[in-house]
Amino acid sequence: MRFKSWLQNYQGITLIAVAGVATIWLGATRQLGLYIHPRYNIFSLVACGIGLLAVAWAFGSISDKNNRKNKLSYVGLLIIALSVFNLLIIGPTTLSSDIANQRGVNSAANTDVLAKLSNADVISPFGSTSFTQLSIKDWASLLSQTNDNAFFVGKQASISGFITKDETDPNNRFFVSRFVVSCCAVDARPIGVPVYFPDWQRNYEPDQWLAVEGKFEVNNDKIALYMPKIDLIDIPRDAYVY
Amino acid sequence: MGRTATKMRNNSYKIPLAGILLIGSLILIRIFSKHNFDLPTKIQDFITLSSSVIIEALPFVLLGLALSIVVQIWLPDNLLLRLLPKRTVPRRIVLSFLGIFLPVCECGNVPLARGLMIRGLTVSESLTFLLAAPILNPITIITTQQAFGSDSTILIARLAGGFMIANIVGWLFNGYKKSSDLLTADFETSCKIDHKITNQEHSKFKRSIEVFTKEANVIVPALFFGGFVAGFVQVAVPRSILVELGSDPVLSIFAMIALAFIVSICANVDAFFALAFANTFTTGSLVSFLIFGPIVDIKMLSLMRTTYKRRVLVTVTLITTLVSACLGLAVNYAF
Repeated sequence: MRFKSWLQNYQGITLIAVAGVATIWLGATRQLGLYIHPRYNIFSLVACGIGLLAVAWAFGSISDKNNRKNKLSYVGLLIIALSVFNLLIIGPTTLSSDIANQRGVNSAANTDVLAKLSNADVISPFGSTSFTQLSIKDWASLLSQTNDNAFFVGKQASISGFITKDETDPNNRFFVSRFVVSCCAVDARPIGVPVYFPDWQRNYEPDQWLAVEGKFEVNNDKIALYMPKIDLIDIPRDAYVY
Repeated sequence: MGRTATKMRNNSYKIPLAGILLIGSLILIRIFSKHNFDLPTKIQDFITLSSSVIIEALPFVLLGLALSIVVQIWLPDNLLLRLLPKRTVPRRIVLSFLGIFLPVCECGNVPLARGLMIRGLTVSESLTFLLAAPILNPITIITTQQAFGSDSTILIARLAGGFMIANIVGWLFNGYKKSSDLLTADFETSCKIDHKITNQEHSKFKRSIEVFTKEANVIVPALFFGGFVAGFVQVAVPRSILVELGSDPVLSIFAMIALAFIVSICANVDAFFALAFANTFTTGSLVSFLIFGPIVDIKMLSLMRTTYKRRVLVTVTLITTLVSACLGLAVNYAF
């Protein structure tokens, strides 16, 4: 009964404490980028730091009369329990390839807004930059700009990302993919570079993180990195691209 | 007298200790918890998505709580009411632009609107501020201009839409004389009681802490609830269904309105999100997305429900849908 009464008075600031501690811990372990765009890091950490100070003062300083009308329903208890579990007990991780497939890797809406360009136009933004230095986001942009497979043939790419099944040819192709984030993980949009690797599921599985190096070739009229060199890697700190 | 003073001193030592102990315990839970559970990917995605909504929005809610405390406790009595025009229409027009001086995102505006009502604003005036502020504020204007710099139609239509919706809703609810028709019973009670009774009892600092605790008790659980629902819907509803409707001048508008409702993205940066759809969606549908999203989404409805009755939320949703869809159609067919 006393516990219930305690929670009735403190459920709001308890939730601030839970999310505040989680945010500061994520910032301290440099994992805040798994949830929000880095532009928010300082603001979030400062706000949560001040919020925790306020919470520390608020605990015990309020009398029952201030909150006697608050009702702690089972929904309230469930929210507190879920928050502790989700934010403090479960380890942070990236979104899965299921979400990437659900949102469509390289669907037209997921790549940058660039009109269809000729080959010359495609090359010019990168000048004389070596193609191996292009990021996965650059390659995804290029792939969205031109349907001319000849442009890509023979070009070397070196990228990293997680495996997302290519639903059009799941036995032979997969995407090395990443999420592009504008604000937080909720708006993450999947992009990727296709890889041709027959029976890839014998050696790899969706969501594994890979570093891939190889050349683009055409198979069945589709462009992809052909049988590239693949190394398994840990999830990087900068798992999303911006 | 002496015993009371001793008791007060004892209490003042207990306050930070209890809080520090709780925060310390939470830190220990975080550090020593097992990090890798083999949860199904859908559950793991739900956790990541809902956590990201909460972690992104909480700092803005804290900022909104801080501004609400400033308005309720620290501003001189009636200062705000004295500064505003006396006549209702110019007063609502001025309130539409208050977001320029208080650029908090939409989540933070809910506690701020509550604070403004406690200090004397009417329900219709609070709604005008709440609905206009996320769009008519400098951060949103700059990010929209950055994202769609080459097409000023989008920015102009967005600003016009936000202003129109806020003032239409304000005008509609201006006729209600009884605030009990529009406000939740708990909030209406706190509007009547708080300010008058507690003002003289404690120091401003203590009252600030009390307002912080009381407002957090109402707003923060609603934010978390909205975050969980938004996370669940993201996992359950395939976004590709909406994206396929992009090129149709009418359906694309409703697809983008539905997307704005589901995604619950912060108004300050939603233009960058919308930019990614510019290739495949009509310009009018982007306008609808940018007008509708900051005013109505899963997270905002949950937050607004702490203060306004269901009929208010239904009216706001209908008018916002209507105006944003009409402006979207106008852009699609006129430009």
